[in-house]
Amino acid sequence: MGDRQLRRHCRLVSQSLGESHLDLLAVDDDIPPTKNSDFESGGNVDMVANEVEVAGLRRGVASWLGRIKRWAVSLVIVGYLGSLGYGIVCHTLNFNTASHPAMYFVVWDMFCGWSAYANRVHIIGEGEDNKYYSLAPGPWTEFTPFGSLARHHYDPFLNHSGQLAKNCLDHTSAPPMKRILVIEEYWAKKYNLPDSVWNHCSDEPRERYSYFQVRQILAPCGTPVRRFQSWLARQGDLAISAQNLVSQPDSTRAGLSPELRATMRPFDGLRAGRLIPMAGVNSSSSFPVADPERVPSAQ
Amino acid sequence: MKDMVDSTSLLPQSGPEARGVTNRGLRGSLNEFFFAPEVPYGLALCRMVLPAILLYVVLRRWLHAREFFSSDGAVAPLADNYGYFHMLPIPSGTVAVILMTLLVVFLVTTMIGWRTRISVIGCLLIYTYLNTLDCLSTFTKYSVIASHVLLLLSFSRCGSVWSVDAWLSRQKQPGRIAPPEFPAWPRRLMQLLIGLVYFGAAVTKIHTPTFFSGDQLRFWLMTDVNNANAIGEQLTLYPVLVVTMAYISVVWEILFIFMCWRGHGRWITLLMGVMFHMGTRETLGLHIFPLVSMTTYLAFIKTDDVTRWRGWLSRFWRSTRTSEPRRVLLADHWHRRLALAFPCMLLVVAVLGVELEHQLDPYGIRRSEGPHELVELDAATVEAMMEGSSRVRPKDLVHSLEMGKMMIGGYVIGHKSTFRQGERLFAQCTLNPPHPDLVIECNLHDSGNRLLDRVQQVVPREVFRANFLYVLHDALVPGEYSLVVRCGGQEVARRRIVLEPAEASVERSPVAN
Repeated sequence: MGDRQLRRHCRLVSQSLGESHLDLLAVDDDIPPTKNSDFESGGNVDMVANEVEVAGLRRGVASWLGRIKRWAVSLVIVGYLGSLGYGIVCHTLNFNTASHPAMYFVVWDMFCGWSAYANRVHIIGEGEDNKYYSLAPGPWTEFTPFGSLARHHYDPFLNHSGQLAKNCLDHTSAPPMKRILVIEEYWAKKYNLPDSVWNHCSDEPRERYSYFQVRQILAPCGTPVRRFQSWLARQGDLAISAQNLVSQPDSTRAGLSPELRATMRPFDGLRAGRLIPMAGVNSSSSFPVADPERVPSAQ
Repeated sequence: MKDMVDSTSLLPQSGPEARGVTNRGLRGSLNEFFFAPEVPYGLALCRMVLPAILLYVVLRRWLHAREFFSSDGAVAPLADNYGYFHMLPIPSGTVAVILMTLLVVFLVTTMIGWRTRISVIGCLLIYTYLNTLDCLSTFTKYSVIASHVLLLLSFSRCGSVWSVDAWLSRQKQPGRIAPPEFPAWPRRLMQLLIGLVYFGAAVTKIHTPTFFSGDQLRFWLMTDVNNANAIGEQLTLYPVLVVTMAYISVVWEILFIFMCWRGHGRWITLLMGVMFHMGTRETLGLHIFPLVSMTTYLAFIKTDDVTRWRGWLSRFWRSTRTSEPRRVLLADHWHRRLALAFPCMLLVVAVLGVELEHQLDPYGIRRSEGPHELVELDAATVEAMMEGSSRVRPKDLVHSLEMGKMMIGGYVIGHKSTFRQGERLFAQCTLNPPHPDLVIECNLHDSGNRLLDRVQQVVPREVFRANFLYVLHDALVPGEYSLVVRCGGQEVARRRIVLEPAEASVERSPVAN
């Protein structure tokens, strides 16, 4: 008995059962189901009965599999839409949006607010030869990911500056470093405007003025020694503070170990920018040598 | 190809009864919505377009794979920003190069539809994994959307039409003419994805306090962290237009998911979407994000649309062939060889990629002159940077001083610097946030810089614009004047104005003579 005959038997059985799932079988076998063909009897009746039984079994299994697959697809749909919906709800209610990296895939916060100031990041190494070196971007690359800015400028939280600096030191013939400085630069965005727009808004010449702020001090291995508030956040604090804020950067607060204070000495109660001689350190640097061994305990 | 049969192809194929929609209701409608059979033309287009866009992104970063995605570089895992350190393993430099090379190959094979499902899954896994290792220069919201699209494509049978796989399949089944049909659910999920993305983006804007005042949008237009956006910078002169566009964009983002399904609403919504995204390209300097977002619009193309477009095309472009070309079928052994060629190609290309990257030496450590040397900085410059700046200059608290003849939506419009006697002059001093509570003076000076009029107002910290109204009455003789803004005891802005005689007096002058 050929396959077509077998199918016809299956159809008869399925019709007798009041079901019509033969098309499932047909798809499985990549053969379209036949609908109008004559029944040609022949051969042993028992054999036919067995084959019909086998075909029925196959049909049952296929139907069962199809149902499971249908349920699986439904679960995928519900799960996918549920996760997207969860992201929308969390975002709307400002709940759990930063609880896990996966939330970045379902929270659509493309407009997070933009400040009135442009900023850049400078990662600078202070060598033991008392010279300063640029550690980002690396001297081997001119890659700019999204416009004209190098990669390190797209690190708003400065979580990766240490790794960037270390990578630069690892792949260059760099002199030994005393420490690494991460300095932020800010300027008012109005200075970004082209001349045509600037002249429309102002009769005065454009004089861009930059504000700088040391944000991090890193050990030569890239481990953070200390972090400071950003210049812009500090301006916000200054704007609403009724009292004078503690000068920043500052290491005189209680709770800091003497070792850490030593690493911060240039900022201790001195006017910004004033260089002081380093006691016990044969260097004219404004920063004493960091001790990378102590860094973990200092944090 | 049996292993490639879509699970959902086991579903009823056609006819309302087979679709289980005899008793209409929510369940029937959902069945119809998600499981109606269709030829996946839209997803096939998606499959062809998205990899082309991602290929541009990936090829630019291929040479930097070692630096961005490996332990031999400076990875910046996304998980670190969330406090999940070491969440994902970081590959070695060679493995990163292999993965990046395989990603390029998978993108190409996805585009042409060769071993489509394997290729799409390969793209999805490698692209998403590598992206999450570099949140500085690779991972953005457009890569998240791309990952979602790749995930949905991996569920679909997007390779069943307009692909190498489809061609090979026809070689096996020469009698088959009609393209295969599959349930619509991956396409539906893609439609819902982009609708929910827009909805979430609208929620973000609603959350942003100064979005609808236009202040933040103006500062965004001045931002230079993306590509050049000359039109955006010019638009800062027209804040009323910016505010109007802000309202339209939010309304459109909310309505999208409700209007994008059928009829004219579908085309209008999609057209507005294209205009919106092209607008962000010109005004904000976003290049890849609009392309990726618009790729999802291809999921709105239905089988009927393609059939209709084919009909239109056939009117203009008639085939000169009088009969079907004789099809030369591939022998079975060629099918087997092609199946074997795919993994072989992956292997060969991966090896070649590693060798090429080694030769190109991205860090330059094998150069004849040795590794690169660090760039030395001027010590005086660095020490000046280390001085820090405690307070912002009063001059930088003021963004602009604009003058015009009227105000709409809190903004001065009709900018001009020449006025006539009797006209009203609206002066608006825009401030840069954050600023403390300020007293702003906007004084009128004559050409000899003598103070003629003094007006001041308190500007609280939450207000970003101070408005002043001057009626240029007859007591002011025609001539040159200046508006001078003072803040914190310093002059921070000055604009020159020219006052001309009133129009009526000009006309009367002959009579007076």
